[in-house]
Amino acid sequence: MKSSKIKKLLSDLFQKWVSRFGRQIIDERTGQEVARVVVRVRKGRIEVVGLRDSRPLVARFVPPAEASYTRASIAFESHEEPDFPNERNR
Amino acid sequence: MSGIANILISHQRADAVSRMVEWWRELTNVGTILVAYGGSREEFEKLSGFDKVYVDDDRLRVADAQRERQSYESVFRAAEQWLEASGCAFVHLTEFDELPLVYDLLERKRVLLEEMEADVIGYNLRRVDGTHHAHYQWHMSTPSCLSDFRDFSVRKDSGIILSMYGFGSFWRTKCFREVGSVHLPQDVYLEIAIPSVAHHLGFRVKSIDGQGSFMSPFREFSTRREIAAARNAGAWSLHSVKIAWRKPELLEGL
Repeated sequence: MKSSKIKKLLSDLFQKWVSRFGRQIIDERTGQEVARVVVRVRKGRIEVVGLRDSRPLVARFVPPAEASYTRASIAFESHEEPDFPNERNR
Repeated sequence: MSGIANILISHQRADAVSRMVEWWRELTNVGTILVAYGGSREEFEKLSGFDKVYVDDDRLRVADAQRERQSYESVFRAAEQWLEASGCAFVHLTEFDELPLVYDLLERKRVLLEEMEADVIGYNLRRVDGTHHAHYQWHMSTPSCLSDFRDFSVRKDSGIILSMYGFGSFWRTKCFREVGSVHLPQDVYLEIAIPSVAHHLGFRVKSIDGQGSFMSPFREFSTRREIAAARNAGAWSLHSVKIAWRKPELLEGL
């Protein structure tokens, strides 16, 4: 088997495992689960692994209910479905 | 002006392309077919019995479509003359590995386009600017390439970026031809370039919903059982079925 095929197979298997056992991510806009992921810190950055099949998500810090100096939450939300009018006929 | 121009993109061997055209002709029984061929010149010369155009462009023939930012600009340009002569009001653009499964596929798409008052419809249309979307992020490694849309955008928000699969799109001809006339100065992958150009020219781009589970960029459908199951589950067509035209026995009796 070619190495690219093995790589894809392993990637698919990992994706399946994460989608079953990963932590739940909720789309803030719709309130629905959009993915299950593994979160890790690598080279000073937060990496989210397992978003391959999810809707495209924007990450943002969420304003807290009370001021906090120790914790900040990052949430994910999708854009609205594209539904832009035709602007040629105006 | 009426009718549907059906543009099929392929690079497969001539016998496979002939089978593909035959299947589309027999199954959909509508539409004027043009094969936009990106394979070798020798195989292209063997093609006969239908309209064809040779697309000689390295940006079409890439090994890794996403990372090398494959483009259909040359396909749009190559089809322009034929399209004008055809006089068709609508255009269907797809790739060799989309297998149509219902007799009225093109008519269904036409009705959907009219109902949504859209200028182009396609699979998996998403707004991707600012998101983790893999193609968007890959382009953000050279962010200036996505700002080229601003140069001609008629939209208030010229920063919107859309993504849509390259196969199975259905167009009003006017929209198709105008999008085809735009040349982006920097390389942008076709799944982002096509819907974003249409959007920023002011055309209405909408999604074909309800067919997502039959339109996979990752999965290869390669058995009669899988194809029959998809059809029974309500698939209008199926992607990706790369071996359909090389293995005719796969489609016998379907």
